[in-house]
Amino acid sequence: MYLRNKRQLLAFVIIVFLTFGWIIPVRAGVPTEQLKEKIDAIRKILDDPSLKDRKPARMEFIMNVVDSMVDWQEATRRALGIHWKKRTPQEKEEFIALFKDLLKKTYSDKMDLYTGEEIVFDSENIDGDYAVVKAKIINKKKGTDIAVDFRALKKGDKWLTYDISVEGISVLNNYRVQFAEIIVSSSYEELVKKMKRKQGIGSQASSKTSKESKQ
Amino acid sequence: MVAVVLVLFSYHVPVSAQPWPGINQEGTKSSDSTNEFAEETAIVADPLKSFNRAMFQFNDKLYFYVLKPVAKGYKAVFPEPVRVSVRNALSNARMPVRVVNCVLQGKFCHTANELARFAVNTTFGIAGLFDPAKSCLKIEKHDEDFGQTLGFYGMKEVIPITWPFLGPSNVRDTIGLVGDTFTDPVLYVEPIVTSGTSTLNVLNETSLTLGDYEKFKESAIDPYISLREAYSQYRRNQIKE
Repeated sequence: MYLRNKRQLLAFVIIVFLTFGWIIPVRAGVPTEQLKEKIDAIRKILDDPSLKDRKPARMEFIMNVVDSMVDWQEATRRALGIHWKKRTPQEKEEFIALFKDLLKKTYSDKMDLYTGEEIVFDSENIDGDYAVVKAKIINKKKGTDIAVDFRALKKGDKWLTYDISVEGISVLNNYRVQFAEIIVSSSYEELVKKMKRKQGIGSQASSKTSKESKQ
Repeated sequence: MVAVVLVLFSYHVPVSAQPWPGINQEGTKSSDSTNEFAEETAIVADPLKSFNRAMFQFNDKLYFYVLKPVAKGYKAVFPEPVRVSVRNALSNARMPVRVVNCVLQGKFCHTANELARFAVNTTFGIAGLFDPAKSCLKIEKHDEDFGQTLGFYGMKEVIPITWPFLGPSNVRDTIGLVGDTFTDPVLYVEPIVTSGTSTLNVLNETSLTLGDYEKFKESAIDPYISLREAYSQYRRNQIKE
């Protein structure tokens, strides 16, 4: 009725497109926005020149951000898989702490590899309370891009990451298989022992590697 | 991370196991969190485990005592852009492997992309030293090999095998590796050039990824299992693409 002829219809379509067509593709979903905010915060810390020589302080700032974006319990529960249910609440607490420390240590060393790579968010899939945010880390100097997927779970109005895949290799999945094989071939207690030993020995090894990488 | 090893030995796959426990590719919900893990935590059949572990140890020592020191020296001599160009050129020369496997899998757009990349990079990219196909034309490389083709047609990885020098693999990707020797132009030249080129490739890749293997090892509770799984998942993902 309002659109009496083709020209008006065309004009209408163009107006609609100009109004919404711009908005829709530009607006990323909530999980991506929340993730982006956290990653920007981490990058800001990494780029801060005053923190360059204060690595422990820098790490603490970064870990604060990480803690606010990661669901450690969910991650640990998934990493232990069927073995999670068999654990007592105290054992669960202990294991969450061990797993968290292990990942922290692993990734704090990786922070040294950061040389201003860019991160681009490609897509986002939400299904109920689950979301996958696909991103690429672009290293212009080496001409490489690495596909990184973040898996997040909705808790209240926050999307908390519980797994990251790099080039299709899921961190959680990798630990799940390691944990399961160690538990089955020896015992849960043995796994805990190994995790603890890793923390002790790991700290020396990591200082050694960071020295080496400086050379 | 696993780049060193993965890049060197990019051959592999299991289609059998459900790739994602409860959460599939699209990040779909999981009905029951216990069920979803039941399958995934099933221990992977690894009948050659003791042999594989021994080979893992061998490769580990090889990296620290031979590969790494040599690659460090190489890195000190050649600046990064040079090494990136070496990588580009060697990869450009392997075009037939990718094209043949794109064709075998019926991926025609990928085939076209690969041929276009070769044409552009060999000419404008000066014998493949540069990658203007990607940087100017935004044509991405499609890494395909015969192991992936076998996986594409449903062949399972059978069992994992770790090879000395080559690293993690499995039955399917080992067959794939043999299949690729027919399409890899590097194997059609003088044997001395073949071995020289392969050595250069390993050295060059190692120099570009120094430190990654160390970090990977540090992150693992059991590095052998971790690497085996990472390789398996990486290949699964490559086949799916």
